Amino acid sequence: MLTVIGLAVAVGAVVSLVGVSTGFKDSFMKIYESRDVDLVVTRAGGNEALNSGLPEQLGDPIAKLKGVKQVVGGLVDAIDFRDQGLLGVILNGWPPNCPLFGELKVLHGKLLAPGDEHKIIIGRVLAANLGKKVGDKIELYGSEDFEVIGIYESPIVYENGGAIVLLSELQRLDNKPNEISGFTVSAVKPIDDQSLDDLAERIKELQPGLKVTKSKEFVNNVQQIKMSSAVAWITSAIALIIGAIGMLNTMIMSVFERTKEIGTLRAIGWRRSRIIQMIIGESLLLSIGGAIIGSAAGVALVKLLTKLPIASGIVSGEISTGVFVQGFLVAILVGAAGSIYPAVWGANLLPTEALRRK
Amino acid sequence: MNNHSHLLHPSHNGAPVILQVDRVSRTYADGSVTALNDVSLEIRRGEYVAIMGPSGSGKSTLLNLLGTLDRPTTGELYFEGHPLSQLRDLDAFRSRKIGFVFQSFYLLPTLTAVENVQIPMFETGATPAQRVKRAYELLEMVSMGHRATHLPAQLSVGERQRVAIARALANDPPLLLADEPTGNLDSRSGNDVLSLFDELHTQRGKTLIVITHSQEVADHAERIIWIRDGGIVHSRAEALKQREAV
Repeated sequence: MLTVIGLAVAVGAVVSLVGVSTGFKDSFMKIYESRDVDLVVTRAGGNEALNSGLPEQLGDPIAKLKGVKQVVGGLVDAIDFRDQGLLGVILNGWPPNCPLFGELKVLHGKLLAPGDEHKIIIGRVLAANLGKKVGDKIELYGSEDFEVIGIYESPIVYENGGAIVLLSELQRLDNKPNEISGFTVSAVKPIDDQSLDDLAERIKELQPGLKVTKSKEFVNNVQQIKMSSAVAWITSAIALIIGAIGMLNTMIMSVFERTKEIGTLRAIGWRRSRIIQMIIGESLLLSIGGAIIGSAAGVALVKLLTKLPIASGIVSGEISTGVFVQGFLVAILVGAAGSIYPAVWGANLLPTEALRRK
Repeated sequence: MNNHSHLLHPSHNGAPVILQVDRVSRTYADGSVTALNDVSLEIRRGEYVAIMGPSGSGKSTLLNLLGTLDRPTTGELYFEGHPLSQLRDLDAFRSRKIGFVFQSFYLLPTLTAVENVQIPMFETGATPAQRVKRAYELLEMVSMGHRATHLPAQLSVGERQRVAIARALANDPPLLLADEPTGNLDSRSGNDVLSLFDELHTQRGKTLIVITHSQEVADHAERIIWIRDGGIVHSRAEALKQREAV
């Protein structure tokens, strides 16, 4: 039972940690996939891709390039609401004519319009976490109050946990006049990889110091996502090693306590291979049991955690099938790895020796 | 090679040799302990042989070698004329040719009687239905059909030994080896087991080799082989003296 629990913890760690990390990346990727973004333009050499700093005016020459369907530029920052335990809340600054406003579903109030100074719209998750409604004030950067004029729902989980002000307002607050974090570029379809690479080169030629990345590569290289994935796998690996040691210990004890039984089976004609199959089979059954319990526990844990304010605006709580498959495969691997040695040891005992043991 | 044919029961003089032991020795601990020393004997098909001797005489070692549970240090054993040292798959051989009955029964505690009886059949390729059918037949034969679904812990010692005998017969082996089969039984259960052995010998033509301390058990056998200090007592007269002395 303890072995099954140990394995369940290991699998639960894989499912929950890797699931959250993968979900984090998938949610981020969805921003670009759902908006048909092909390229992301940022400043080259910047460490934080989300805050690289480009001139706002660069958007026009990019839009005029052949093959470009749409260019969207914006400023992004991350703010804290420490009193509510919310850290790293995404604050977007969009120009008033930004096409992304069209994707938001207004739940209460209205969207931002040109000239809306000290006005803010917030996602439904942030509204719930802050306990704010239309007409309430939110203090930004510890100094300025912004009036909530609308609460929206976005197809992007990050945006539901974030807020949006006009680009000019965020540029003012961040002291970044005429500056944006980057541009997202949608190409005219259909387009093949070679043509996309050509377009990226032409964008780079517009100004020195530009980095143009395909959206999937951009997401995969976001520092926070890489760290999240690495931490998830390292932590899971530790849990798995502990699970494997537990399994090895259990199977060694099991075989040791059953040497007479194994000796009897060998005496009455069971082949070594059948003994090995039996012991590894038992271990795999334990593993699958642990995997089922661990997967269920991992899902429950993630669902619970994503309801917490600090997480609800960042991860969706959905775990992909691929993560479950990984969890089961890992459990099977641990079960096999932890039982091979005791299985071979037990099967190679001489029947007379095995029957003689107490 | 020592010839012990004068010790054979007359009825088996013409029967083929099923087991032949040719100058077999078994030593342990790098040769410092000699369990068997230069032993030779023949067992003919259909014989009922008892092997007797004091503790530490080498009886169990001999049984283990006869049953291919162990290998001799020197010498050779032959089964139906084939040298066992040249058999590649001893496990398969044991499964089909030899049935074991142990003093402590060695039934698997988590399996029912009918499941225990099926265990040797896994190596024969029998289907589950075939295994179950044969297991029930064997349990009926040993008068345990009504207890087929009971676990060993729910059976008396006599009943457990009968299930163990049924298991030993699972693949219809020609040879049965029994190590102190009545050692842990009361007299009534012991008599039941001996009756079963008699029936297997006379009605089913099984070759039986029984290790025993008990004269009562040995008296059921057609031939008694005495072992002392790792060697076989040769003459019939000396064997009689040994029996009287014990």
